[in-house]
Amino acid sequence: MPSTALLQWRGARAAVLDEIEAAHALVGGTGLGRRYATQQLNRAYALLLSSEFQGLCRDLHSECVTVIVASTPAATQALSQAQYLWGRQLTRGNPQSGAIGSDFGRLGVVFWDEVCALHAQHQRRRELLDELVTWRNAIAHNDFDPAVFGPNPTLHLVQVRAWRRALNLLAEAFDSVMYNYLTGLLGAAPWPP
Amino acid sequence: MKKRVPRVGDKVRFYFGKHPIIGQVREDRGPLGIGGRHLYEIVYERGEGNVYIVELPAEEFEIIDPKKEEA
Repeated sequence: MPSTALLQWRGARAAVLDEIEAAHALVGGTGLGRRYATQQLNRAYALLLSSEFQGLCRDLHSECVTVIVASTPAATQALSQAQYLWGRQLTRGNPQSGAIGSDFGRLGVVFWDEVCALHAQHQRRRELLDELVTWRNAIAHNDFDPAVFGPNPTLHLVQVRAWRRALNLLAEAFDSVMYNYLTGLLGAAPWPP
Repeated sequence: MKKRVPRVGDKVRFYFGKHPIIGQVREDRGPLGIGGRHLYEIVYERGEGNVYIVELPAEEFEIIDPKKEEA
């Protein structure tokens, strides 16, 4: 059984994203109006995808911290937990790959090295994650740098779906990496196998 | 008496060793604790402007009754 964070990614978080897919299918017609409407939906989809993936990463980090802290003396647990959570980038920031690597790295794992060691395509998926976050920031701040996005930035549904597929596979990899790392560190499985 | 479920905004007390700390529940983080226990994000201040967070299950803090606090 995977972590609660991964279960929620596959369940409640996927359901939220599926609602946008459903809304997309409901926008009818073939004219210019549909193109404008779906463009806004695609941008909303990208924002939501980034947000839900941040939630997954933050949840998984919390789960891991809780397991590590539980192995320390009771009198210092709240104190050590506060140290692990101090300045956590995933608490409020975007799920850039650097932020994820930094936050999980504080638990002692060389995070992206371990993730990329699991599959040859994970490095490419990491790049897709950062591409999504770049779009997310441009959409959220309505600030499309022409040097990055060109003169007429258009986000297609196929692109958002490609990001989502990449994140689905990264989510599974994150769970595996932390499961293996914590099992080795603590001598017991962090969550039921 | 059964403890009530913590709510966002509740003032709570937890301990750093023997030292009581007062904080406020900012978020129900869901069943992320060991054995599926709910975790609550608690924000607290240590010295003016120094804000920290912890994420604790309900068994590890107590809710401060605002009526008792006023008394």
